[in-house]
Amino acid sequence: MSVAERRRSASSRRWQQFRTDAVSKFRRRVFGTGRAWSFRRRRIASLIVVAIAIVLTAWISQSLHAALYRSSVMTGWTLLSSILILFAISIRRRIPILPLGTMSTWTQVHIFTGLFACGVFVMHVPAIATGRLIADGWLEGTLSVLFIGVSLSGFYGILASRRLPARLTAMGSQPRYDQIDWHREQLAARATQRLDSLTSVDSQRVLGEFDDQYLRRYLESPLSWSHRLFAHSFRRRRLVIGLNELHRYLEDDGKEVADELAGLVRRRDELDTQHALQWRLRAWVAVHAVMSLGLVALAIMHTIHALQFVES
Amino acid sequence: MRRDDFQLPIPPRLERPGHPYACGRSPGCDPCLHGPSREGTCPFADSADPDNEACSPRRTWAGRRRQFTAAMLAILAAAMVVLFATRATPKVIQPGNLTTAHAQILSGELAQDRCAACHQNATSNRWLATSSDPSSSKQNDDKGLFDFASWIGGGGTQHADMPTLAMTDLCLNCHEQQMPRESARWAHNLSQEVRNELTLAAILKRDGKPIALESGNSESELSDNSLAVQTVSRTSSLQNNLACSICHQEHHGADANLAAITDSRCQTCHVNQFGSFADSHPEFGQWPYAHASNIHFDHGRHAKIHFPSEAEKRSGGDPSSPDAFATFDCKTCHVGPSFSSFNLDSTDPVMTTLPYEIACAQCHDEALRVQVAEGPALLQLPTLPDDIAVQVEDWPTLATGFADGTIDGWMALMLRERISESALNRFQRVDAANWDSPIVQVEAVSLGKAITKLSQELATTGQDALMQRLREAGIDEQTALPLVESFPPQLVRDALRVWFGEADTTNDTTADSSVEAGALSGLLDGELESEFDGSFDSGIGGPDPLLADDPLLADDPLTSWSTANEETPAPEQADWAAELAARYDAAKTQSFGGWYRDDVTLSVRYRGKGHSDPVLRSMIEIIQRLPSDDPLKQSMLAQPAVQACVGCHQVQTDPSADASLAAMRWRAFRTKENGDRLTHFSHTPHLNVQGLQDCKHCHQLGTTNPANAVHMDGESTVNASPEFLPMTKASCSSCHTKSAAGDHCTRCHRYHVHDAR
Repeated sequence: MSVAERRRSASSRRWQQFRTDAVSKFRRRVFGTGRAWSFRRRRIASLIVVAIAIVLTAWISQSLHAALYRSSVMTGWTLLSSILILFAISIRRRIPILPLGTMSTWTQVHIFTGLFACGVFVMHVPAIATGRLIADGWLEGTLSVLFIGVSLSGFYGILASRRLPARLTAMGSQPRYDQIDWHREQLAARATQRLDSLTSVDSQRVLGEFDDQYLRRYLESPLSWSHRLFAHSFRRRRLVIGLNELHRYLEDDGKEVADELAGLVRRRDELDTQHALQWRLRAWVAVHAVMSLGLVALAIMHTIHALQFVES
Repeated sequence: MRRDDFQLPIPPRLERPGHPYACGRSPGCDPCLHGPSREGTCPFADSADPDNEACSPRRTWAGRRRQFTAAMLAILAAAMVVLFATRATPKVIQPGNLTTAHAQILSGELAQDRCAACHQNATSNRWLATSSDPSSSKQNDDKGLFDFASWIGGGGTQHADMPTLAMTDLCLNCHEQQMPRESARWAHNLSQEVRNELTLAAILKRDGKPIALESGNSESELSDNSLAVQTVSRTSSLQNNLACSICHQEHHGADANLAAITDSRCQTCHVNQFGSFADSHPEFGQWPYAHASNIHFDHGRHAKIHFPSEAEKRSGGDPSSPDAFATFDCKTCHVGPSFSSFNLDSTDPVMTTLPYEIACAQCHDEALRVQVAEGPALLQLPTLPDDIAVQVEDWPTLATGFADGTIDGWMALMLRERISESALNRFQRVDAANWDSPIVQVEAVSLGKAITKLSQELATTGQDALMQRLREAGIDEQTALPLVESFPPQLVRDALRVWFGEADTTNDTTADSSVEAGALSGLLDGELESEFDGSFDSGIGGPDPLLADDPLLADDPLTSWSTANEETPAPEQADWAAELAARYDAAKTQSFGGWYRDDVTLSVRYRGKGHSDPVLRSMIEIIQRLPSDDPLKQSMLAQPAVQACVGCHQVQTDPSADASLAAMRWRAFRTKENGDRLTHFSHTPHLNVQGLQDCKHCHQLGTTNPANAVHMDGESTVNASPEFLPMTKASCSSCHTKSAAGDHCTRCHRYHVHDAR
């Protein structure tokens, strides 16, 4: 320790140490200094590149506008190019045999190109300057709606593809999407089988009445849209509570069957949640892809028209 | 107790991922091992085996998705066909509503025609085949749909070099009244030469070397500043072909501001660039006082000298006496927007002043009426020697005798196409000619004949002859019309009847005294006229109080001399016959002006009626149209009545220039010049601010300079010292900020100079 360092107070030394540690921690976490390229590091680097690209495009657009050029033509070409690059991922997905890089790389490029396209869209649509997201006119308005729809579905896809698989994995059983109906029918069949196995008349009457009124309707019904969009357990809770409340009227065999029926209800609810989450993972892709297709078609039409009407 | 440990059957292991159909047997029984085909057909559809009953295959997720995608594509294709290949196409591709002004013009048109009204170049394509103009189709075909270079201005081309389409020309079909077609594509509608001058001046001013914006010295300055020249030529050449739609972008809604332009676009071309108005905009310099006003009115002298002295005179030294002249109040003349009846053609009501009759006549009318009383003579017979008069043959005896008189002014203007220039110059003063010279005598004879012919033409052909003579002098008909309209040929007929032989039947007094009058004419035309400096009694009289007490004018010496010989009764006893016999006194009977015959000077002359005399104005405008080196111009301008008008209305911006070239400005407010056109200012909104209601808050009078006394020597001079102190930017920048009154360039500057009206 040097003389100067010895003369520093303890608090000063602690503050200096804290600053040094904070800076190095920040560098390590953000830039991954001294480590291989992690996912976080790649993401930060990509976001920086996108931000730089957006700023650069905005500067060029503003410069062209100031120089009495038509900056909307430049931003329009940029936006169309971005949309075509974004659309190319669907081609890559359909032709996996071509050596065009991994799908993971394509997905990353797709995500950050999409972010860049959102920035260019803001520069391109003049209505946004007046506080409106939707452009005037039928064609341009439809185009705006499609772009916003594709963007929102894309953002949802980013979130869904990161959160829903974890939830699905945490639920234990992972039935295949196409076999969920088969599982649902098996649960209904099992419930019918257990109700038929009852020997006590009272249990048959009580549980049969409950089955007629509530249980069968639940187990044989398809997945509801409310559950599909917002996974919930309201019906499961009501049914399980109802079955538990029936215990006071049941004999021992009836109680056993009621417990198993409650288990079937819980299994059915889990199956519904699996179904809803898997459906969401598939549905956003379908919506995103179809809207992208319409967006590309209308964007090309818009480009042709705009360039025909533009005057020197 | 939870009973979740029950076992369910193991699902079938048939794996057909991505297949559009699944077996429809489940859940009643296990699906078959074959599964349906990709078209959704059960393999046992045609089987009669009761153990393998056919099922109805159901769609898997992949199948439903393909079905959904196909349906969406079909809808999209159908929509695109409907939208882009039907009559609805123009409505669909319209990027937004037009502004109200344009929409209402096109409201009666069909949708296709509405597009074609502005987009003839684009409506010839396959989707909008509505243009009937083959040239536009050809133009479009030549360019090709994918001529990207022309669309985006890429490939190294500048926007100024891009091909010109028809849209700007179509704009000008309606907007040509606002701006001439030939200058519509120029930046600021200014020619490249003007822009070069402005740019060069800006560059040199930026570099601390201000120059005057004169086209004459710009060339020399250009040669001395090669860098500036390069900059000027570079910036200016890009600005000769700007399309309207570069700035005026339509289809942004009914209430869109078509004139909106960002400050950055202004900064692009301007060599002196700056940020906000408050921080870096240059000071105003001499604006708005750089240009001389239309009327020579010295605010400083009126405020500090004339008004106080007039107030003192009227109050008789009593300072407590209320008087209109006690204070010099700007609003006395600048009445503001409340007096809209006086807003003749001024764009700023505050700048409009009250008319002369209200604002100025109280002090200036008497002097003005005296000045304009003796107007110019259109016909004036000089006195020629007897031998010359005999040779002229028809020369009146009243104008025969000792050579005297002048040949200049209006009569010289009408004669100079008929006689030689040397004769006119020689007889500017008839008495100064060398009458012993035979050449002079010959020229005098021709002069006399020319005057006689002119007189006869005016008497017989009248106004046509006058107009013809003025045309021969190079005066356009429009300018001469008020003068010619006012001219009464009958007056000349009567004059000729009196002067050329029938005097005894019309005016015996004049005829009898012809010799004496002719003998005195030299004195009257020369000595008296110069001595009284324009106040000769033929032009003034009773109504002029300044001359009412003049003993020389109280009684016409000629009249009293002639009447005394005839022993006419005293004036108080004269009846109407005696009045008729007396010499005609225009001052007494023509107080509202007009043409009259003066038998003493043998002239037909005009008596001005005072302010706003259209005949005098026409005469002055005729004089203005004469060449600057015309010797007649100076003598005609020196005429007292003309001088009375010129003293206030002639504006000379350059003190070193010829005074005769100065422009006449009849209105109190100026016609906008280029510099003004690029800047607009309206007093009205500023007067809503209480602190600005006092004009002196912004317009502070400077020190009074004697050189400003424009009337002192009868010449119009440019103010040698500023009448007002320069305005400062700080007085504006306190309010004109981004968050308050706005500090955009277009707040005070307009782009199109032709906007100014």
